[in-house]
Amino acid sequence: MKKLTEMKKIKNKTLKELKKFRRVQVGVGTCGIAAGAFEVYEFLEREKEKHKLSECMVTGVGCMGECALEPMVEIVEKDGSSMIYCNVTVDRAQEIVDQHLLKGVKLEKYSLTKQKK
Amino acid sequence: MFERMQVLVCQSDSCKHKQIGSMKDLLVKELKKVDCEHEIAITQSSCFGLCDQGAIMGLFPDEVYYQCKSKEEVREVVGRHILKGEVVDELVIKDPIIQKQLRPYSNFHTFNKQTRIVLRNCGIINPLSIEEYIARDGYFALGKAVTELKPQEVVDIIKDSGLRGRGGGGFLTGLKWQFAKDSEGDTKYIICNADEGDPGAFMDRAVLEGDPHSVLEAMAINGYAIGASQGYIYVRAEYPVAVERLEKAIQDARDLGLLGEHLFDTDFSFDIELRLGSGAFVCGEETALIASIEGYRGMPKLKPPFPAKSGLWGKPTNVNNVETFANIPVIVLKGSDWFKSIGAKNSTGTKVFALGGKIKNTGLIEIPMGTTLRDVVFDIGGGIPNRKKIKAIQTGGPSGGCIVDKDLDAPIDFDTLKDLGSMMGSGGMIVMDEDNCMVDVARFYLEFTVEESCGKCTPCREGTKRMYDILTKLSEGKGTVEDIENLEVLASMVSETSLCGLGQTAPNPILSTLKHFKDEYLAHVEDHYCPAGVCRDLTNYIIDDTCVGCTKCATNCPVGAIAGWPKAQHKLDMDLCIKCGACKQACPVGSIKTVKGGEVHA
Repeated sequence: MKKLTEMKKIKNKTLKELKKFRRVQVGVGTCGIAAGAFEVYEFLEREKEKHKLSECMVTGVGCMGECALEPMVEIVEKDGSSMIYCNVTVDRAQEIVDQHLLKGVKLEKYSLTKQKK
Repeated sequence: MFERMQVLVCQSDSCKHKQIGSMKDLLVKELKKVDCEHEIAITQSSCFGLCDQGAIMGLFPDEVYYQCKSKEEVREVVGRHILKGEVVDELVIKDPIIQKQLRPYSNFHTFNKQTRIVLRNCGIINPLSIEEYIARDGYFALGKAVTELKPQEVVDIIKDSGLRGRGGGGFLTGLKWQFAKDSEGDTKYIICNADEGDPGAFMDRAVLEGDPHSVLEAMAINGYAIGASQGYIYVRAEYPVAVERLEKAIQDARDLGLLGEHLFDTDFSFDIELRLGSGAFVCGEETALIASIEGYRGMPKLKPPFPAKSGLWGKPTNVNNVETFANIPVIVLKGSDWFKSIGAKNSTGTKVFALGGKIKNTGLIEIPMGTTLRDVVFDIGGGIPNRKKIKAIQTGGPSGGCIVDKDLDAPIDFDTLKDLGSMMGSGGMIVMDEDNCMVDVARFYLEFTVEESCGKCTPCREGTKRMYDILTKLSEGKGTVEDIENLEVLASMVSETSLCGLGQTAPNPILSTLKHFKDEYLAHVEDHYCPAGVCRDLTNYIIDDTCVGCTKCATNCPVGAIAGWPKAQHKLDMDLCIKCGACKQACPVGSIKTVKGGEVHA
């Protein structure tokens, strides 16, 4: 890296790039992995291929702090609004893909606000 | 009279909206009109703290808050929500910060007591992508430091910010940097202490796994500030995910030229290597850690000389903890005044805690210093499950102590916790309820320190073992009052004469439980009774006649000691019972009780 301007370029390019996608973030810290986040992550990747969801980007992120409710999946829409699902199993992930990702119907029953008592 | 809904209205004067007048009177009138005044309870509450938004009312159990600016709007809420149960979206309160409608109330940013500095990127960016870190202003602090600031200016910013080491001791980070900078020598080293060993603490792991670049960036800034060109991260091998992500992060940073030779076209060069530890608790002590990197047994040395004078391979070395480093880039970017504005007077910024034990929301939290323990346990943590009462909070792991419920309103900062006989530690916070036996808790921590003592100095090697033996004796009901006295003497002796922090703080769990729960110790000795029903030799279980015969206890008993027909009172065979307590946990009606141990006469 030679100059700060180079970094600004990377920053702007990445920000622009990120805006093109709906982000499907899976918490893959050790807490998440122990609760089965990798299975959910791989499942979501496969579903993305299967349904050709090219505007979705499945990515792993670190721990969000709610370790007791892992695995967690956060879906960030292009406008920045987001929905966090917790205790996600592969079965629940299937429902999330079918309802939320494909039809745009949010599944309140699995949301963090509903599950966290 | 059963009321199906409760309406909270503010009773303070500031909420008396000029269009509405008294909210309560108006509501009563409106409810009468639609003939449901008996179904709704109106409760006057104190100020909601959102007075500028008009008259506020909260509807429960729906957890919806409305702001009304006119009588018509109140009528609207009564007609649509209270009568028909549909939420009047356009009148739902807006979050004053993000100007979005939010439900339920607990989502409000204003009331969310957490502040994320250290965990700013955790759970948001992909830790494997350096571009995403840069997109969140990553490495700009390094760029700013190297191209715009002199090394001394960087040290001054950190000094001025008042940042204190987050590893446990709470020493001023800026001062530590200054010592290392002022030490003479052409070769200096930076070490990141990622040997997180407290039972129940995992803050550093979360940072390394979720945001590894923030640590790398901070180490490079530190290197620039004190004149070092090589850094080591001492991370335990038990964190394989963290190790893998750190390796990838270091490689990515090298590829982009953010680590290596001539950063930002200047003379400053910096590189980082990993060193894996095998998870010895004592290696969290900086001199032991340095010995371990050098290839020797991880044993502490006498200080001084401090590592800032003579550290790794005899060269000036600065050692900081992961969480401390994670604060650095933000402070350099946003300035020390911004950092000082968060937290308490002598403890600036935030602290990450790993909240665990008997609490509803376990997990990682980051709170501004000065937040009270009550807020942490009951607001963020959600309180104690199963309607139990809180007994104590253990902070600081095996080096810390217990804080009892009467001190719950104390602010969390370095000095207050120390005054209360505990310590900040690296950030484990374990909540205990009435089912925890304090003798057993002290014994648990002592068992840990006995195993982790490196054996170099006698007080720690022998003293911790003897204290553990006494505690075991007490929990078996064989202790005497003299044993408790000996324990106290031994505890203060070990803490005064041990070589390093491990031994000096090892008796803390005993000293603080003895201070607050002496009666519990005495009960073990004099009455041969464990009030919490934990110590097996002093406890018997009984099933009383409130048993509903649900069979859950019998199903959960691992040795089949419980017999009984469904819907009839169950019986416990004391000859078979191993006193594991599984039945007590399983019982839905609390019929299984613990009583004083010994012979049972049924």
